[in-house]
Amino acid sequence: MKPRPAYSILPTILILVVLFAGWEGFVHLRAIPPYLLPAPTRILRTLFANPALYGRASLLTLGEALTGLLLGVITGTGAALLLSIWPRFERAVMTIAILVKSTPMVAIAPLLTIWLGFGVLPKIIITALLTFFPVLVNVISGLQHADPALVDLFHSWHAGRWEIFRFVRLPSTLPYLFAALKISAPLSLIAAVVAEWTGASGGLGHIMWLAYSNLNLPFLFGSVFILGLAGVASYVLLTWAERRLVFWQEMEL
Amino acid sequence: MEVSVKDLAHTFNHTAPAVHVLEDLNLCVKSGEFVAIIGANGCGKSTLLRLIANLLQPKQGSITLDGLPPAQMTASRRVVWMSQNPALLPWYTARQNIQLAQRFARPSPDVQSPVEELLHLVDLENFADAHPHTFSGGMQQRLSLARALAMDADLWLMDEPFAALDELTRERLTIQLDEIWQRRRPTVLWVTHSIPEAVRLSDRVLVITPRPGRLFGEVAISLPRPREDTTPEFQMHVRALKDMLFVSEGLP
Repeated sequence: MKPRPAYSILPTILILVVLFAGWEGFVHLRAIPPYLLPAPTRILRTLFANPALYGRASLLTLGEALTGLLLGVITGTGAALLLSIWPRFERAVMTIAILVKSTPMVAIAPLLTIWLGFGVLPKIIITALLTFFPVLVNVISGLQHADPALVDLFHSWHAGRWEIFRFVRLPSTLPYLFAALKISAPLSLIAAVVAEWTGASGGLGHIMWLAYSNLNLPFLFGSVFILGLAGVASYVLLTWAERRLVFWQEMEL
Repeated sequence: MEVSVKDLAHTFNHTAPAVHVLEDLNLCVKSGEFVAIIGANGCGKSTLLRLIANLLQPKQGSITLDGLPPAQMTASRRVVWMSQNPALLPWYTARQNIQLAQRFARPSPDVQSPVEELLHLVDLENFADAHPHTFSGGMQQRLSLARALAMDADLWLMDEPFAALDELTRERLTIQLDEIWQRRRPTVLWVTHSIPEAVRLSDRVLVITPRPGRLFGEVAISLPRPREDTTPEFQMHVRALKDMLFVSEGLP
């Protein structure tokens, strides 16, 4: 695989610069008040003026999102593996999983906050619930879509189920797991923030909620900027890891 | 290992209409014999090998290996099957792919051929630690062949193992394979589309009719080895088989 040349991210940077310059220019030219739309420079100034506040909030929210994501990945992968051993439960588990998935997060989140309080636990549970489904579906898919030629080869070796599972099916799920992670990682941020909106004692979602109540939009946008950055960073990190771990598949960003 | 196929018929029912792949097929391969199988595309040659390798169960008729059902022979790892698809594990290097096969091979690890030696046989000794996705189609097939040799089986079921190779590599590997076969003397069923390759390697060439596949005829090749494809006897066999193949396919 050829290493991607550094200049290939130039168009991305260019588009971002144009976008933010346009935003900045628009706010200044039309003299938009900051309580309606703050200029990007104003948002950045707010961010840098309150490093401790945003730092603590970021750690909390990203921690919740990451813990929830890990929980979702572990339970999702675990459930998929169990279903591959006992396929007769697949329909039952999938029905429950779809039920959970199609219940709106904004309906469950307040309930969990009422039951479990303002701490991190309801945020982690909400995040895990939301990230569980893509992982479950993708890992099941990966286990089922192992290369039939490889499965035949192992049958011709008179290999057992466990050996086929270990040498063929399990490694085959890796690309699917990464596809799930790319969906689940940004989702985990959204889940953590929305859960914080329903009641929290800290975090980026909490800052957004407070800033929204006071119409302090520069403060609100500060959180949005951090979340956007975290989302992009998670995607870049996952793509980087994917290239190294799933090296046998050609892929593009 | 003696291979005996009696009144074999096989149908694929999962397609509509059902496809009759093989019908009334009878053949017998002596222990240590090298038998090539030629025939039109889709005449059931691959299916025949899959049936013998116990990857499919025959709908009618019987297959026995040394008088036993194929399941028993594959369980004791005395049969190796090589498909047209190289079927390499992409997450493993060339070396690891062969080592994995040796895990499943019958001979104990201390009498197995070293991986380097097997890779050298197929000219891949410099690629031991490379991954198959960096290989060309021909290299992948060669690695697959080395892996099949690593199994050190008594019966080799080979489905067009040289199909993706260029002319020169095919030539060199044919010579090497001839030597290996003479040394180890396994029983070989070799499916191919190349008549010269069949004449070069085998003791007997079987011609299968188009679908449903039956045995159309056979030609015994008793030329001394190694065989030169330029000799008149060699050319005579090639021509005879070509004619037989034409007639079997109902072509003028």
